[in-house]
Amino acid sequence: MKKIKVLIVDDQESVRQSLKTILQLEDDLEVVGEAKDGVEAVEKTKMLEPDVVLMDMRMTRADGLSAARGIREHSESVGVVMITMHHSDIAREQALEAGVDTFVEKGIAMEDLVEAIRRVYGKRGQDGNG
Amino acid sequence: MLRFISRHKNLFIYLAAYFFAVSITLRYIFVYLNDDSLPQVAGLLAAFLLVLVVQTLLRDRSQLYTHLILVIETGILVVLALLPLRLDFYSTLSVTLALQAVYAFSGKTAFRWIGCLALVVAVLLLYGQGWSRGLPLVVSNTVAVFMVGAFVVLIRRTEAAHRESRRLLSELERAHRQLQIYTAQAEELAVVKDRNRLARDLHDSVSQTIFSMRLTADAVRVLQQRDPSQVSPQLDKLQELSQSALDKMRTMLHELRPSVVAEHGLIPALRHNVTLMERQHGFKVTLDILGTPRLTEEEAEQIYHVIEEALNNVLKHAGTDRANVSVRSENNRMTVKVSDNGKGFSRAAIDKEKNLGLAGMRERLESVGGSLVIESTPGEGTCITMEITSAGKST
Repeated sequence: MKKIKVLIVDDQESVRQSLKTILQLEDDLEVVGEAKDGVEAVEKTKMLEPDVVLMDMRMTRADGLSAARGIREHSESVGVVMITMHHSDIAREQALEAGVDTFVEKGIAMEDLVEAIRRVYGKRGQDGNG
Repeated sequence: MLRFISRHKNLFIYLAAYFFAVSITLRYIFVYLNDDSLPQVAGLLAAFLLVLVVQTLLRDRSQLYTHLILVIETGILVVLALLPLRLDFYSTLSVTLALQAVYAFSGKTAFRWIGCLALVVAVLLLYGQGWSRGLPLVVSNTVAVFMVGAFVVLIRRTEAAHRESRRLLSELERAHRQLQIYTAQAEELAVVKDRNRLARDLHDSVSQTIFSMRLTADAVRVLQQRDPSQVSPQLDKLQELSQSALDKMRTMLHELRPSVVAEHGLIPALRHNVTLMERQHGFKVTLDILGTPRLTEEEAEQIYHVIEEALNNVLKHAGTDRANVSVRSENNRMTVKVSDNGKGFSRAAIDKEKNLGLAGMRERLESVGGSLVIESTPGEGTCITMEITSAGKST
């Protein structure tokens, strides 16, 4: 079975580690790498070619929005899931324009987070193939 | 009365000019009533009055007109002086001319005209009346025309000064209003900045850690079923994360807590500070309190910081281990003296207030309407006196 390759992007190591632990428990997911800011996220997307990038919105060096734009310039097939504490309508519009596929709020149940990754992968995979 | 004249000075100048001209005209007519020369005299005076009216109407036109009109009027005055009866009261018309000159021209030109008029009339009086009778008239006429001129110029200058001070006052009021707006904006900005910083801090520290805790707890739940041996390390991690969240929360609360003055009041805060200084530095401060301060929170906060700064200065620079703080409060007025018997400093050092942070202390106090006086003599210690008047609640 082909696993969904996930790149985790967050500026806090403890968050990256927790996300990694969670995602590794799923048989169909594979964490292929981690990045601690938006710049590194774009570089690692080019290098590791993940299927989905799971990324925090707020980061100290190059935030999630600019990283999403950078990723979208490089690839249309990679899915982008943005994690936020809370998002306004304006932030949602900006994120969609930047190429983000979906939002998940911090505090979401593990199952829902995993489901969001699968859904985005499915959508992008179909788009990419279509 | 002077204010009324000043406000309607143009009207008064013209009324005075017309009054003199008309009264002299009447007097001439009465004197020449049964004389053959009456038509000539009346014609001259009518011409004088006509020219005066013309000048009134042309007052805002070119100054050349006024020069011309004054020359014509002076000519009429000379002719009147040379009439056979050799009267002397034509000289009073020079007051009318002086008023016209001082109204139409700036100070220098007006007084040149007045000088010329005085000279012409002096020559005519001495010629017509002789030295013994003419000289007193010359003196009185000269004094009269110069006094009239000086009076009008004085009123004009007073009014200009009044106008200028009104303009300055209005500018000052505008600047004050602008300053109030800027202050309010700066305060709002500070609040917004603080709120943004708080939100950022909460996101970057506590919420991220709690998010990690949530994820770890989820992982524990799944691992319990799939791989129970992995549960223990995840629980250790959870404990570590919760401790970290608590520490971060404690740090933030410490930063956000109210100041010691706001929490306990000025005097208890001072006592606490004094105790700390003695405990930490062996620095003995005698507190002498009389009355209960009635200050606003902001005033109490500022005065506390100034006292603290003054005591730190004594500790660092005065070369003594003792100081005295006296606080006297009566109604809404408070006087604080921070004194020491240390080495003091010179006038030059006071002038370089910056070096000792004295300028900052002064600014703090002035920001809440207080004042600060520094007295110091080398070898004899220093006394800093702060005064503030307020109508605030008791702190």
